[in-house]
Amino acid sequence: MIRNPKRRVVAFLRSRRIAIALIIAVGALSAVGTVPGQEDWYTHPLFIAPLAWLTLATAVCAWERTLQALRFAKSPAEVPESLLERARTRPQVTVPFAGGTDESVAEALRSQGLRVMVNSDVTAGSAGRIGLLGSPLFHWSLVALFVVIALGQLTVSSGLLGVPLGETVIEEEAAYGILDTGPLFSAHTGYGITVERWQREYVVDGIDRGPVPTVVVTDGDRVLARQDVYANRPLRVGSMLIHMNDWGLSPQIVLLDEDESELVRQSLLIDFAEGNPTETVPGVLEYADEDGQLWDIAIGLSPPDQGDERSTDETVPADALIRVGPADGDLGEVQRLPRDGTLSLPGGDAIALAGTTYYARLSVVRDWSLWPIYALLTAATIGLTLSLLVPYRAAWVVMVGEGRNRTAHIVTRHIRREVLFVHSIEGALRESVPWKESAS
Amino acid sequence: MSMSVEVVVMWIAVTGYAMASTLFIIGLIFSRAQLVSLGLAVTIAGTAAHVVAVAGRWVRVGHGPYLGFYEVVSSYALITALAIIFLVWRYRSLAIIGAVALPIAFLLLGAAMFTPRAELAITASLASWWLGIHVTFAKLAYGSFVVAFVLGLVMVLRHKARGTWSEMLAKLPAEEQLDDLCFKFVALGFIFLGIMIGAGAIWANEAWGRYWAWDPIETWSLIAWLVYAAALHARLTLGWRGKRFAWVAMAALPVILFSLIGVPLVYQSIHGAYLLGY
Repeated sequence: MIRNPKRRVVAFLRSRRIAIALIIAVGALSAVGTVPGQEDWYTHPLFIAPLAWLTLATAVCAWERTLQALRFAKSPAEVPESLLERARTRPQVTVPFAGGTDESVAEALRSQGLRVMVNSDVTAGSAGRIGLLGSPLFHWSLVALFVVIALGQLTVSSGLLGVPLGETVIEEEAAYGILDTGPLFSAHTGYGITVERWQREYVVDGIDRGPVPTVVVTDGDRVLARQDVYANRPLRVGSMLIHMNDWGLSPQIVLLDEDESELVRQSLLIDFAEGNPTETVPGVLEYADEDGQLWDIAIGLSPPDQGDERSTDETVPADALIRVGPADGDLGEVQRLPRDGTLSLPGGDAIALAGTTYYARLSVVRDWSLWPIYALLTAATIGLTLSLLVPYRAAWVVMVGEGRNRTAHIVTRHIRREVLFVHSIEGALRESVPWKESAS
Repeated sequence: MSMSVEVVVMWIAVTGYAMASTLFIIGLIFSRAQLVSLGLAVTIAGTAAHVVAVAGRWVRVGHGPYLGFYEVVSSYALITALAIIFLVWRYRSLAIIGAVALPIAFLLLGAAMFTPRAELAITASLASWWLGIHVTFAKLAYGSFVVAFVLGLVMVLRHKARGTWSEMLAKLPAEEQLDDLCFKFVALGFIFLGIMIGAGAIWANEAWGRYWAWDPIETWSLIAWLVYAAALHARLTLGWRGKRFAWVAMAALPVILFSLIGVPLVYQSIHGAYLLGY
């Protein structure tokens, strides 16, 4: 019974049975989130708490593995007296060795891939010392991975931002249609994000990647990056990653007064209807007339067929489909507004369609943790590979007795406690000396 | 190679796997070593036909066997057969494990033959060299785990075998060696599965802008990795060996099979394209 509470916690965390149960439990809890309707499960405390517990248990395990590695990493030639004593009095295996020499013992150990050191009392061999790094590296990398992922999620910013062709949008909160930020997220960059060019068809290696925008990121007048952006080819600026998420149409609407003077010019972002590229989901503008009454102007588009040759990489020959009605009331009939045409609004003003182009819906993620995560994944893989495929093993052979009674006493250490190892050493020793003849 | 020729060659492979399964099983039951040797020869012939069919399709459609149920499941059948041939080439006395492994290859390829053989094209989001890494390690992981399963099963069978069965199974390597091999294949599979998940996460970030989204197939791959992590910990820290570890290696296989083949059939997922083509 451990009375010290701190020791009890450590004993609890280092319990191997509990750790294995915890791994299984995290697996089972992960499965819960795959049930439809449970999409928010992975941020639930009932999921996060076992994960945090597993991280702590992994850290304790990593610490223990590090101590073990340091203990084993000493040269096998530095044999502790206790081990020598054990070899003399309680060896794992003994081999009659009359006629055998120290050199034949060394040769037998070498045949098993061990590096051999001989001193007066003992012949020692070891291999896979680099493998001792494996388990600590793997476990520490996992712990760091958990921590970095968690910190990254606290400071991440991830959102969708629509940029019409030829326009620049400043990377700030108001620019995003959808935005998720971590609770410790500091500030947006204020960089300008421009879609400079649009290519409807963009074939690389025989595969159409289009439509593809050419995105330019600027800091004031300074161009930070310029690139064609498509799937598997995001634009990177520091910790900012810009992907092409989707695309739509962008009509430029002009509000005119009674004298047809331009009051406001605005680009809208219009998406295609789900699964139907010939229909759009109307965008809504709010408009206040002279009397202060609010109106909604729903603006859809009549996109041409995909194969319409009048479409270019820059413009779309679409008419606007306008419905006007009081705010929160019923919208009126659909009225078609061709390019450069005007449509009167209640109160005397009018709107005009200056033209329609494309817009790129860009996914903009700022996450500093990405490269550290990749580095830790690599370190964990190297650690795991070393740990499992290059196991540390060592053997000590002590000669006991003289002449015909001379016997090789063998003690081995295998990081995985493989029982085959001692037998392979025993077999090699038996093959290395003519013990049968000598014994007889 | 045209589609019709491919189908004929593929049926030759199915027949080869069926015949090899039969020869291995009869050889095991009636303790006839010659039948086991013949089963191995038929396995090699069936696998050769399978390789020809897969390679012919690869050249025709312009991509490896990783798009659509037919290609994916057929490739897992091929990996099963190749893994067994490799194992028997290294350890001749393990030939009898064909009695367990070949029926798996036969059932997988047989199931694949009754699914649509649509020739799906590589889409823009799939066009990445990460695809090759991700898929290669998925198949290597599956191959390692299926070998561990087979070794586990023969270890358990040997413990339970009576009469003529036991004569054949007695010719297998010693329990410790089988156990060690079973462990090594689980360990290899665990490394490969980890690389597959890591490569998938990096690729997902390049293609979609997020490295992990708890998509069902991502989640189930992680669950499979955790199951094998628990198995390895049980062995390395609690000393679960022999029959106990064999049972664990066997019990874990359905989880990895579900994550690689079953998940896209059960869940609507962004990964559906790889098996179902949507």
